[in-house]
Amino acid sequence: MNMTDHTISPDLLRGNTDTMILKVLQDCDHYGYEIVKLIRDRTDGDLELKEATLYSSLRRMEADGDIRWYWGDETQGGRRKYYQITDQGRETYSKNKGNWEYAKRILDLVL
Amino acid sequence: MDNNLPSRIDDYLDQVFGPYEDSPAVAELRIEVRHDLLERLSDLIEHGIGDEVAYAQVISSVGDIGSTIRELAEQERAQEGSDPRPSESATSDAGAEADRPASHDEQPAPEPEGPSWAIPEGATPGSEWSDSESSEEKSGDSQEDSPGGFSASWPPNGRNDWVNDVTQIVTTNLDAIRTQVASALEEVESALDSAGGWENVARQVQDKGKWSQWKGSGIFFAASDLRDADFHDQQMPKGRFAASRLRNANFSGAMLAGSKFASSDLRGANFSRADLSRANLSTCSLRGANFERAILTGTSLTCADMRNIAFVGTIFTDTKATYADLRGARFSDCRMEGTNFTGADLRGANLDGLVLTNVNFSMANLSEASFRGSTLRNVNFRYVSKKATATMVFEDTVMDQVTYMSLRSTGSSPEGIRVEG
Repeated sequence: MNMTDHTISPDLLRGNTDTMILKVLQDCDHYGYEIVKLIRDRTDGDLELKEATLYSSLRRMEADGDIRWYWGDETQGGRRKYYQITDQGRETYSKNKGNWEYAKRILDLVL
Repeated sequence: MDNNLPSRIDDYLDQVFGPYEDSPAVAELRIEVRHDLLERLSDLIEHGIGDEVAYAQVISSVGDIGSTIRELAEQERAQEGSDPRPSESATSDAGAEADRPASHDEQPAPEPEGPSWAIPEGATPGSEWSDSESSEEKSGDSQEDSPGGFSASWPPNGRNDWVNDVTQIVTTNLDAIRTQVASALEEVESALDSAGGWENVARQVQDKGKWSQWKGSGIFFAASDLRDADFHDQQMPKGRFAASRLRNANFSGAMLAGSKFASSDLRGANFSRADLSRANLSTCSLRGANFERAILTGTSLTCADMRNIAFVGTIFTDTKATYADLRGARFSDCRMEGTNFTGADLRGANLDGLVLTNVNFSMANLSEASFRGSTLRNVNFRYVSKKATATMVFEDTVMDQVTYMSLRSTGSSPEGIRVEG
């Protein structure tokens, strides 16, 4: 089977959007479109978040305390909101990553 | 790049965000999405993608953002009256400086239905994930206009219910509705043609002195093309002009209290001496408009484009100009009490010689803004960046201790200020 014949379940993506964003924010604070670009680049263009998905996820994680935001320096073009992972967010990421690795290990045994 | 593309993106955002324009949280989200879309557009053009394809891809990248917008607006409405929505950095660990991390201290949002990841059946990696339902399909609802035939208590069970009901009705009967709407439009056009067009009808109504008939419900001109129209000295309270072309229209001396102009093109419009109390001019394009001695008490100017306007003798009591573009604006002899400029862009604005009381500049960009000879009382400069504050002009400026402390909280120590009280 050619690689291009593969698909990814939307449910699988839906369950991991927050974790993907938390991963991107681990290294550095980013504004919305930067997050989209980083995920796209890291997946060689296979995954691209919609704006709706991105901001729905960001609002949810902000309410949960996993991220926070601040206004960036407006001297570089338009003013942007930068998102930053919190300590709780790092814990959430580690927990989600652990769950993912566990699930993957189990599924690999039976698939 | 086609210079119209950014304005087409703005038009698109007007449609999607328009019904919720009064929510600051939604206004902030709109700004974020707009930045993203313009940057994406620029990226695509740089990669050699044609204008139209790039524009289509940009719009497609938004997905179904309607539910996120609605949740934000409803969350904010639920908080009104109990606990005002906190501004940026309301959590205890956030500092007073603009560049420090911050977070909204809002009530947790209702759990969204889930992200709009959706892969078309048979799609392969590399294709763009599309949403099952376009945002346009969900964004056409109006917050204030009840569908005809419903009671005054509409909506009966909250906005979500009737939006869902209407969406379902529209989806189920789309073809029939299209036919009926097309037929109705033909009838309207035909009737207008026989009557000599919109302007002639308006003139006849005006000539017969029947404007007063419209006072209760407000005259309806939404989505109209009324460029250069003359409404001077007319009585049009609660008039409905939203999403209209009103370039160079003359509203001088008109009574327009409570009127709706949201998302209209009002460039060059004349509002001198007009009463725009409690009117909604949010997201309007107002460049070149004349507001000399206009009354803007309680008026919403959220996200409006008012660059370089010279406001003379304008009353800004309790005016809401959040996130408005006021670069280079000049305010002469204006009254400013309770004016809200949260997040507004006031770079290079001239506020010399004014008395500002209870004015909120939180998160505003005030680079090179001038307050020469002004008196400031209980003015809020929270989260104005230190860099911007350093460029602000203060000469013979008088302010109370509260205002001075607010200014100092930005991290700067401006000179030319006399602190009283």
